[in-house]
Amino acid sequence: MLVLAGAGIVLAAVAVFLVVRLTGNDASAAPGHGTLPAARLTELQTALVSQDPAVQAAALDPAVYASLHQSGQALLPGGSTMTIDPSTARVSGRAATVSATVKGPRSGRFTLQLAQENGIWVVFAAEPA
Amino acid sequence: MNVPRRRRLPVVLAVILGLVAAVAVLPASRAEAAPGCGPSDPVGTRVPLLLVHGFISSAKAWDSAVKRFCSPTVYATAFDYAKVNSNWVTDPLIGPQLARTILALADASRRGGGPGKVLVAAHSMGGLAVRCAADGRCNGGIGAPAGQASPVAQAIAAVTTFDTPNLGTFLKSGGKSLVSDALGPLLSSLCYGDQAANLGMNDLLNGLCAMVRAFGTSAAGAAFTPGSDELANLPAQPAGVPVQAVAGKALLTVRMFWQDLHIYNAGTSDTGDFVVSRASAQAQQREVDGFGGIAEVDCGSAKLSITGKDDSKLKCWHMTETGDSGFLDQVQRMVQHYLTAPLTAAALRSAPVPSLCDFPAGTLVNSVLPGAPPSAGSPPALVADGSGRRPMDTMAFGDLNGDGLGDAAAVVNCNKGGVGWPDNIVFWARGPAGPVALGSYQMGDAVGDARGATEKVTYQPDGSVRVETLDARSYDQGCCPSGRAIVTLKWDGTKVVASDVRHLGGPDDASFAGVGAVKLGMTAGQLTQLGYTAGPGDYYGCVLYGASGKPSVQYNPVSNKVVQIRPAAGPAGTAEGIGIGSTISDVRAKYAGKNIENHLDGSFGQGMNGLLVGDGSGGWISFMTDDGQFVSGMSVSDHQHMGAMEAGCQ
Repeated sequence: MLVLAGAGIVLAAVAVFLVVRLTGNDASAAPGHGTLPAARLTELQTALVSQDPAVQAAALDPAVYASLHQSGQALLPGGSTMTIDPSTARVSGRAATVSATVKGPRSGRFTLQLAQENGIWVVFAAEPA
Repeated sequence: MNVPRRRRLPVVLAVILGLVAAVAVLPASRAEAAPGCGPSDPVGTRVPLLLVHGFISSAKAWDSAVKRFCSPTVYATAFDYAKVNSNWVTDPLIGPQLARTILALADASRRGGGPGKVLVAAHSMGGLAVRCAADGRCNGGIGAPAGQASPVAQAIAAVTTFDTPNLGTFLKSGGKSLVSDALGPLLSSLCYGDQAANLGMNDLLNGLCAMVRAFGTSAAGAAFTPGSDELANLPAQPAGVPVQAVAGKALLTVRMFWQDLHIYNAGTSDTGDFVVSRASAQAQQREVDGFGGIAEVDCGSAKLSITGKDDSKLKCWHMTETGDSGFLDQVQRMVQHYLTAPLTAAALRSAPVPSLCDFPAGTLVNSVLPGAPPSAGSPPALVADGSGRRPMDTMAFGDLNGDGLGDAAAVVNCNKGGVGWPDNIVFWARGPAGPVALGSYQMGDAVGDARGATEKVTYQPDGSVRVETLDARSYDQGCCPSGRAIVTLKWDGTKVVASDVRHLGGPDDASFAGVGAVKLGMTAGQLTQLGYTAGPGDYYGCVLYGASGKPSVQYNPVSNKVVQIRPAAGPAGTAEGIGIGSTISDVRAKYAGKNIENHLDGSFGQGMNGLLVGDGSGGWISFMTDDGQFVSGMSVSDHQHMGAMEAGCQ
């Protein structure tokens, strides 16, 4: 828990400054497509709708997971399903976005935001598209 | 232009006069311009405000602050160590050079008639630089021989820090916690190589990445590691100096589907300003005389997002604090406090005093005027310290001169050797540099030779000071004032004056009702309760009652009443100031309008002479005289038992 919380602080400090556009005027600097491993995306769309905390933890940034756990809120309503569209993936180094559709008790389209931490892609935000 | 000759003269005169007026106005306008704060501008009487930037920054970070604070009352300037801004604060161009700058500013202020002390506002590592500069062990002994207190500390009036990493930064845990393990991979991907260029369009990210890169390569960065030897060895903020520690308070949120999550640190909400935690920023806070301590600035919240939707409500973070109005308001608070805060007891202990007891005017050091040889007597000193009198009773605080600021008055005593002298009440105004002596009042002018007799001074809402004091009567021994008085002192614009002196009755004064607690008409039982016992025998039926040290009493057992009271041995008198040694003329003058019977013809009983004074209440005061000029004895009685009490009680 201490590790997760500590990571939360640091990630928070860094993340504040990450209001970064992944598209830019300079074409050479523009992020590419499709470099997110398809297998990982499949894992994520299963893990994010899981009601098992351990499975969720493997899909989320540790700080985000710790905050979710502390809030006592469910990540998604039980019975939800998710479909991630790999073709929408936009990657810049170790940061990426990809579109996802949630169906079930509540439905909506979201942009998942991911960071590659210790070699593993994890979700740290999911904004309405 | 075809102007008739006769009309040309007025026109020419008007033009000339206009030009003269314009020329005359020009210098005046320049003279009224607000003084600047450049290197060539005089500090003068203004309060110096020194702004110290932080890690990988420069004096330019304070540009808006200098503009804001530079004024006719504040000389604002920024210390610059940009060329070495990632070195540790012991670098000769940081801590030691800052020490020299503080001393130079204080000296310029002193020479200009200002306070001779400097206010310091420091951002981030700048606060650590102040800690080094103010201590001779760190600044190389600048301004003082080794082992002596650094004059730099004494030249600092107050310090305000913005998120100074006193305990290090949580961005640089140096492997001593797993925080850095989690941060490292992320920062390495964001802040180095091509990736940094791709993301570099964001100013905030640029700032953070610059900081992170410097953390990894600089001496200061290593020192910012929590628990580092550098932090452990750094002296604390100078003792006795108030330190206002300002910390940014920002929140981070992420959007996670239909909810916003706050990201916290280990069950707390301390994410600081995203670089320095509040705990680290506040570690060196200190409140002194009503200023200092902790202040927090709400920096709003930031949302973690890389989609380009920047809907965060972040108002400030670590690298924007020097230009942030919320933070600068705290500097304003320091300046305002220093310029206008009411005087305090601590301030008076080093206050200037006017010439008193033939000692020259000077400045108190630890409450005493220094420099006088022991043979010179006792130099002026605040009686609050070491006199046995309570400090709260010997000082009064409030606006004495009507300028709206908190002035002060205090009891100051001194003498030239031998016996003690009456107190002085000194008035101080709240000046820009602290207390300014307005003037003093010699209490002997109101209460005679009542030495060290002030019991309490109290500020009154009308701007006066009420002095409760013992009061020396004309018949008192020098040592022992028997009366009491209330003296009202005021500042009249040029000097301290007694606007009212009320002499009060003493506890053993004679009055028409009796002497002290013993009253005419008391019964034997009441006398017993006062400790009296009946003496042997009687005088024509009257019984003499006595008690050690108390007035002697004649009691009539037939009527069960006290009929005469004589003051106890020693100085005695009335509330009107008449006693043994007063003149018969004084009696007549003080009791003008009362019923005065003349018994100077030997009719005062047993051939005695005197005056009998009554007020219509039935009680009479007898003033006996042996020589017809001076009062030699007194008693209080009914009319029958006046004077030498020839009448008995039968």
